[in-house]
Amino acid sequence: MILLQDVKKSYFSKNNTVHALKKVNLHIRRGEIFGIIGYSGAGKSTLIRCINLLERPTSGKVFVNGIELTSLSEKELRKSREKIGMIFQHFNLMNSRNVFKNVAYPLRGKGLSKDEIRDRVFSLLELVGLKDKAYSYPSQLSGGQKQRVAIARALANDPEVLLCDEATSALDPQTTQSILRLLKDINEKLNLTIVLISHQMEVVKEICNRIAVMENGEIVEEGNIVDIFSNPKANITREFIASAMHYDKIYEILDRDPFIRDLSKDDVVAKISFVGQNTGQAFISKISIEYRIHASILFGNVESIQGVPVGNLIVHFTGENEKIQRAIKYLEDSGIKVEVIKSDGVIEFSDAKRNRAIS
Amino acid sequence: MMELLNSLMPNVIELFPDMVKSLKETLIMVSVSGLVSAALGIPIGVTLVVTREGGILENKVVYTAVGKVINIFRSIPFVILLTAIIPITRFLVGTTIGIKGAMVPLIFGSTPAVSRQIESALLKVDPGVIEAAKSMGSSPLEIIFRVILIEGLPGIVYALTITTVSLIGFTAVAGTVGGGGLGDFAIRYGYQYFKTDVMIVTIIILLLLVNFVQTVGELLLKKLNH
Ligand SMILES: Nc1ncnc2c1ncn2[C@@H]1O[C@H](COP(=O)(O)OP(=O)(O)OP(=O)(O)O)[C@@H](O)[C@H]1O
Ligand SMILES: [Mg+2]
Repeated sequence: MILLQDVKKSYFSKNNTVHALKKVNLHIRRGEIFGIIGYSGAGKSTLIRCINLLERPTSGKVFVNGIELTSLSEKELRKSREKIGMIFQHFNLMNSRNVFKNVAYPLRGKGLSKDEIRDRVFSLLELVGLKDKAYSYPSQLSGGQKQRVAIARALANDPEVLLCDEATSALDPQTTQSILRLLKDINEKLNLTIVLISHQMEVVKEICNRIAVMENGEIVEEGNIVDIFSNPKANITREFIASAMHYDKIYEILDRDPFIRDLSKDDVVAKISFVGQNTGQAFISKISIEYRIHASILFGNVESIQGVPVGNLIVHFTGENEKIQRAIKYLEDSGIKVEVIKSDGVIEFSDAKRNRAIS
Repeated sequence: MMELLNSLMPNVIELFPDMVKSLKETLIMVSVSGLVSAALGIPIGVTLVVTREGGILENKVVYTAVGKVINIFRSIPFVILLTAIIPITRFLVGTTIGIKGAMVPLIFGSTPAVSRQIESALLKVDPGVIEAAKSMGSSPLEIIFRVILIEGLPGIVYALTITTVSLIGFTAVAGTVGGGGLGDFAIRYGYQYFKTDVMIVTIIILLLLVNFVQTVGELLLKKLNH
């Protein structure tokens, strides 16, 4: 659906050049929700703006729906843009127009009758759940409502693609969830391809099928969201996952909990990570019985990513050290990642801290 | 009543018909030159906004040229402009005196100010909204007429209110160079013949006029702001 080939974008000014995009290649499939994540300045906005050519790449080609946009004239490009909706972080509604007129804006001058425009606007407002606000002005709406109006407006011309640049970054967590649900909903109802940019893993993990991770103008990792969560490769990806999974909290607990500091010689504290059907908890009770050791969970976090559980548990094993080691071996053989944080009375904290971000 | 007025401001009563005529002249000068300079200033202001760096029709040559011309006219004090463009005035309206003769320099003096005011008003239109319009496939002309001018309308009204008020001041100055209007009237009788009451009443009328324009402008703004 969307294909970027060797897309480069550089900004030139008198005393320096910024390479915002360095040879990006990307293929986004029809009907998928594709996430692009990266820190501020990574080039996410530049990338998404290159898709509808709000920003013309310095070199490279952009295809949307089989058409090479980079080869079109301005006029043809404008026609193509009608089929590429876009929503923004700050909504960008027209304050002098009410909700109805904002949504009707892209419909005017398309040869539609007044009644046709009216029907279309109301069906769009119905879709985003704002029929009763048709005659309100943007200043009378909440952030979430404004974004809904913006979504309705972006969908007015039946686009095939919806580009979302930090569409939820100005919203609170609840409103973010409701907007994400709406996006998921229209993705399914209209078979719309959605490209979603965010600096929050929480947002992309919620609805994206596949994601790309950007750093310094490059895509450093790309793939299925579950694969990326269970097996991140780039350091930056691990950092994003660490913050989404609240790993920081784990170490906070380890730092603070006196109980962990006063372990006996044989005890082991380990972090076990699992993906998919190997639900960690079941294994914990299993090894407790089979190896006759105590395994208590100090901290647990299980996230469901696209329906697949991805979890991390901090487990405190007590019992004979030899049995514990065998239990750990068993877990590892079952495809569960085990990282010993403390054993033999030695706290491997420095190590743990170093690995903090690296899952 | 009439007697009281007569004793308080004898000259005003005596010159009343003249005063009404001058007020009419002022109103004509302000409205005609106001309308013309708005008609010229709005397109010039729009040109400056769209051709500047990052604008939807970015064009360095046009932007610099228009900006330079405007700055030249803006830097000439109005009284000097008044006399400096006499040949142009004569060429355009055939005379340099009376309200006809005053209108040309008023337009020349006011248009650059209107242009700059409009420019700064339209620059406040959210670039994000323009970007959104672009992303929906709007052409530059559509963006000018359906986004910039509409979203910038409150700013335009505000700018025109300010420039109309200063135009009232300009007409008074133009009057001193034999242009007619209230300024001319006040100087002739109030200043040259020491008829203080004429001066005071003229000032009050000008004050009311300015207030009226200001009030109408603010009412319009209130209606436009959502
Ligand atoms: N118009 C511009 N002129 C010069 N440099 C620019 C321009 N736009 C972006 N850049 C630079 O390009 C780089 C990428 O910017 P971009 O806006 O794409 O980042 P981002 O990932 O969207 O960041 P954020 O999360 O803060 O929105 C940055 O270093 C930025 O300074
Ligand atoms: Mg950005």
